[in-house]
Amino acid sequence: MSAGADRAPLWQEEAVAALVHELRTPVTTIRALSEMMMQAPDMDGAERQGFLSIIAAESQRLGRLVDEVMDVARLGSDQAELRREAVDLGDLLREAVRLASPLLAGKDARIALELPAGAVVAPGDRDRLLQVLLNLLSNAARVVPDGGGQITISLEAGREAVIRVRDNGPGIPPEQREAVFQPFRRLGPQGTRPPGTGLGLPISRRIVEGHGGTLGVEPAEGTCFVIRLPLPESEGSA
Amino acid sequence: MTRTVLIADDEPNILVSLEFMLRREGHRILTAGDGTGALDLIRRERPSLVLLDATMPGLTGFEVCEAVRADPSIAGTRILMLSAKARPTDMARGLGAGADAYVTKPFATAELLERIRGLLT
Repeated sequence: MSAGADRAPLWQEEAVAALVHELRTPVTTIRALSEMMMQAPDMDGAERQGFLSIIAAESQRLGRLVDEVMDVARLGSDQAELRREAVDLGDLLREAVRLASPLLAGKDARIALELPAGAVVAPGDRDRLLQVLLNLLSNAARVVPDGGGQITISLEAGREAVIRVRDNGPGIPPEQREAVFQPFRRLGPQGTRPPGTGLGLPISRRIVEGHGGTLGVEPAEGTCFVIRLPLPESEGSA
Repeated sequence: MTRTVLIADDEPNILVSLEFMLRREGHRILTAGDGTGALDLIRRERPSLVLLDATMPGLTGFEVCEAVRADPSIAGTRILMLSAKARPTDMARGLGAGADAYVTKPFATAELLERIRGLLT
């Protein structure tokens, strides 16, 4: 199963410019803080420790960015092969919720799981599909309010499998519902930039499309991401 | 001589590093995380110098620069645009918007400090 060798490349000129911008920002911080520490040997210990923490965090941010850029490159190439195994989607959602729950630690928020009665099995790459669900859940965990925060992940099966990840955060304005799938188009309230590399959603869409499915945003209170995956003829509402 | 310097950038860690550097120079520092807030502070506090990131939410650095130059009451404010946009067209746009200097990120702190000292004399 090829992850879209004939689709338009993700790395249009605008995306490359955005990537360079994203790389320059942590490099700027690391360079500036380390130079200042060298030029100010008299700075106090707490301040020095604070600077070192920022340098460590920015180095990790660079590392994540490089990993995700490699992921995008792989998913956009002819060599990107997705495994095709029988994936029990109910199990997959349970695993995703288990792994994502710690993201809500310290926040008054919960994740609810809604599954159909029978098993729903789709052909796919379990690890890559889990990567998509964790990306959507971690985005939701970031935006839900602290106090009454609610994330719901649900599965329905008909002629296709439909997975919805809903949250009661501030939502995405209609005109930005496609923009969130563009590389580095991180959107936050009033145009602010939330944390993250800005590649999670483009990668997720590529993975789902590599399975012959779609990933989009449905109108909802809060945000609702919808994954549609084709099911074999014999599958469906069990 | 103590001067008031406004640093406007939407990256908190860059604000931290620039603020540290300019405090050591003995200046009074103001910070803003977006373009609209930066323009408000320029109108209210009349800083001697603004370090202005080109890419910010709300108003961009380019738009803030143009608004400053168009307002006679603050048009004389010194502006150093600090940007990760390093193409010649970006620099031309920044200087065309009225910036006194355009420095690209990542910057060498010693060179940036020299540019700042030059603009404050």
